[in-house]
Amino acid sequence: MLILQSVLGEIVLAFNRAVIYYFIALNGVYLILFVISLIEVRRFVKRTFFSDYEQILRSDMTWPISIIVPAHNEARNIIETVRSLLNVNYGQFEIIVVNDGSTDLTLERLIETFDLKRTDKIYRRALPTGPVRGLYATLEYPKLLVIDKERAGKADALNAGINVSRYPLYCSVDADSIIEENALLRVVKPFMEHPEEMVAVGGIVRIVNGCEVRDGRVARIGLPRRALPIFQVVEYLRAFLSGRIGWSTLRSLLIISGAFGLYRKSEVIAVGGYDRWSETEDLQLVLKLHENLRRNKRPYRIVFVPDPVCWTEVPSTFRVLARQRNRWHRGLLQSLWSHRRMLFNPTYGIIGTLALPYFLIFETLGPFIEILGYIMLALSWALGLLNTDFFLLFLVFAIFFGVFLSVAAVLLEEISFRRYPNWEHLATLVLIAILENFGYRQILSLFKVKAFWDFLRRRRAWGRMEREGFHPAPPPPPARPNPAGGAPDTQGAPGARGAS
Amino acid sequence: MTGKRDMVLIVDDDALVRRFVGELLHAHGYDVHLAEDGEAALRQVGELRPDLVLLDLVMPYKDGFEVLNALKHDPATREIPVMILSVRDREEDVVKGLNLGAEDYMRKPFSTQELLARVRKILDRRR
Amino acid sequence: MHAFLVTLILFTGAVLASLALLIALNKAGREGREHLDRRRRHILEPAVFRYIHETGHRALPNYLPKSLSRRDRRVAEAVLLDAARLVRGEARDRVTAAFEALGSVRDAILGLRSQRWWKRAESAERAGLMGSQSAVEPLVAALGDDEGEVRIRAARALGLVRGSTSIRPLVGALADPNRWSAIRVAEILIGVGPEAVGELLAAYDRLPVAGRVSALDILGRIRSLEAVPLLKRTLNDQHPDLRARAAYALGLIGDPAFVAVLIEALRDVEWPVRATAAKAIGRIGGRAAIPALCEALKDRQWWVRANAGEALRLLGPEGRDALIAMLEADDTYARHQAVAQLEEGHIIDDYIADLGSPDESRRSAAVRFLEKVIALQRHERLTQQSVEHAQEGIRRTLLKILNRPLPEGGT
Repeated sequence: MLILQSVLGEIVLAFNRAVIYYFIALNGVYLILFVISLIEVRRFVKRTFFSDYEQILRSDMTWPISIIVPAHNEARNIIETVRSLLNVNYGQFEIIVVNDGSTDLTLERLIETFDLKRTDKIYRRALPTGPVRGLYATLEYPKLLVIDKERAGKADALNAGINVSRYPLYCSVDADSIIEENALLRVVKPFMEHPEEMVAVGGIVRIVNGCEVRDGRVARIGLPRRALPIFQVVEYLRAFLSGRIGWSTLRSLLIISGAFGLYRKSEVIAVGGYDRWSETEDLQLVLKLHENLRRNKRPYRIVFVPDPVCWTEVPSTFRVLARQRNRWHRGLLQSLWSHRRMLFNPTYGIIGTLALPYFLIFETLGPFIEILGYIMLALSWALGLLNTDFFLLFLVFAIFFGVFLSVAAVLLEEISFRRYPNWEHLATLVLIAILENFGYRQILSLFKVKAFWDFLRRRRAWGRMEREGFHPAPPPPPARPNPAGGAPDTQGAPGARGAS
Repeated sequence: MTGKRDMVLIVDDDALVRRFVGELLHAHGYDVHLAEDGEAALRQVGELRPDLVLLDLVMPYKDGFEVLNALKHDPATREIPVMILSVRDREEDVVKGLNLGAEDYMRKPFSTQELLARVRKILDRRR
Repeated sequence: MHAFLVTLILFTGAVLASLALLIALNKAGREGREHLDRRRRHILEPAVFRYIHETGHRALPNYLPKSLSRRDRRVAEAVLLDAARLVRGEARDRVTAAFEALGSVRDAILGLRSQRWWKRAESAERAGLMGSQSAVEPLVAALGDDEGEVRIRAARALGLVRGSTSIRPLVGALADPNRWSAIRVAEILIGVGPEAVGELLAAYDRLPVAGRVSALDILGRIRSLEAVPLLKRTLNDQHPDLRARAAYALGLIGDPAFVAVLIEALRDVEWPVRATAAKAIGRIGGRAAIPALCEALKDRQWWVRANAGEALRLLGPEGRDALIAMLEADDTYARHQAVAQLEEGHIIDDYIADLGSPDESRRSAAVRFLEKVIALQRHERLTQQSVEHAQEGIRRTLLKILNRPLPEGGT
């Protein structure tokens, strides 16, 4: 009995030590990302000290953009979203709303508000999609086009939008997010700075809960009143300001938020567009782009601009948050699984050797270690094995380190964009940055553990879909459209305005 | 400039432009009022009945064209002359502004002396 | 171990506290500075504005308080920089003189030699806005800076100061592979106008393809007649982007004499060239091109068809007749493009209105026309008008036409 207890004790202690190493490694990675981001954000802010957006706006040589808005049961938001998009500060662009089989009045409200008429337009189906019921347009708003199709999911809706779009770049926008006026200019900038290499660009997504919205724009910035969304404000700050900027600088950005991202259409079509089976089609697409481009050894860039581009609403109840995070994490697992050949594979450069392993170790296995760590801590306390020294060590590395990084993210915001102007806001943010390490983050880890379980249970089901989704992917189109033949086509490369 | 001073309403979302043009017109004996967006402009035109509206085009909530349209479609305000002062320098904007009933169109950056001369001319013509 | 841990915890605590303090100090410092600046600005701004608005020989210092602190000078400079963006003409000259009187121009020139690139970039930008000729030489030197952002700001500044010495380096900057920078330079050159043409033509052959594309575009937008021989020659260049841009630029210049060469370009092997050629013809309005445009309506590329259709629509009655004739083309795409353009040009509506005409021949012509549209299954507009049209007679006629069985064919 005594032996058993001492063996158990040894195991618990050994595990506890491992957990501490894990936390040191995890927070070490975060620290490195933070330092990179700090340098990058400073540089970025200096660079945009004077912006020449006005000039670029007027130029005939800016690239036109197709904005694609998938909408499923968005009757409440869609009109405001389209209005705000129509007011976007940009030269030449079109807005394609894809009604994804809504059962509410999404389509009716669009038709009524903008006086849309059914129209015929011939376009090439570069990507296979579910049935399209019709296209709607109006002479009054020549930039607006609405696709009505049967319900087949967001990925399918985006693919349909890509098929109909005319311009070489497209921007995916969520129907419930609010776009900043200069968002397109900000994200198109990297494309024009590196015209040959740029493939996709993402930007910072902010949380609209608690802000005052008027006529499709954020009129007054505020913090949410409820606790859960405030925690997410800090979480987003950390994820975007110190996570994605860091990864982007390392040339291994894996996530571009579905709420707002700008892509080069030809590259997206080359990888078969969005995958219907994926729970997180945005992540899946970026991974596919990386895979394809790395495999073909093409120089390319997928970057993140540390500039706020859009505002979105986050879950304010526990139940919805749990569902959202479950979906995100399952999506991540699906994508990692479907790209498992890239893992630890030097052919895929830093993506294979650093970014994907990070996601595997810290994002998918990490939560298990973390949760087990807490359990073991409680267990060793129950067994009387817990000494103060160890507990303090755990506290420093698991909690305080995290607090430091959360507060540091608030500092990044304060030295860069300062979208939260009041002292009160700042104090709340710092306070929440501390508090989020006592409970909120642990709950997120629990969500991830639960999602892993769900993923394993459902893997067989989606595995089938994955295979179906992969096969019909069309062969990549030629780099330059062949003028001598081929299907009728609306895929304008740089368009009728010359390929500059 | 006898008796009542001419009243000018300056509509611009940029506070600097409001102050700059406001100071200019004030120094030349006009009674100056300021509005910072399209809705405020319509409200103030209704209340104050200015002799001239100086209107910016690019503004939040209601842009200059919408304001102009509303003013020219309201019998009570139709007679109030409007002069557009905007950074938009494209021909089509100028034509659209004049077609909607604006008296004059000036592009920013502008010459202060020219602005004064044009304002004076519009107000003289109305008398 | 224990002592180490206590130290570690104290250390973490201290780091956290100083981080929070850093945030607070950063914000407090900034807000304090902004507050003081605002208070001074409140006093200084009206004085500076008064100086700008008046005419005469009194210099800016006469309008300001006797002794100026460093903050006051900075605030006054900020007011002037704001005003510099708003005015031109004599007031602009007064602003420049004020910068010189305040010593701001000298500061900016010194700033161009700073160690930190963003200081140099900022100084270049300021020097440009100040508009002083004395900054031209240092700015030209800054065009050779190692940091791209400094180069582009210097180029932009030179465009604002506008001495003819600055055009050559600007044209050279078109070669920058960064399109964002190149566009900014191009816009500056377009602003410079005809003065830039000579340098552009001289430098054209030295520029890389992307730079040439920009150069052609600038020449088109300046509407330079001197550039016409180059543009016409470029229509036969081996690079399709250049051919396309040249066609577009000829359209911008808009001489009807170009139509012949543009018709040639309508038969180019690359579709972007065909598309821009069609667009250019549409802008110029060359009736001689109607048969070629009708041919282009059958192009495999949507952009070419759309631009050709638009060009026909813009050609007035003759273009319209050509579009109507194309309703019976043997090519499906051409027929559909023709309907789309007729719809866009409200010509379908005109014919619908003709249904109510007292003239029998116009009525029957309208019926024949509308039947062709229906045969193409483009009846949305007609269906809608059959419900919404103001005249009841027309609504009834439309319904009758719509409900007639289709002759045959359609698509």
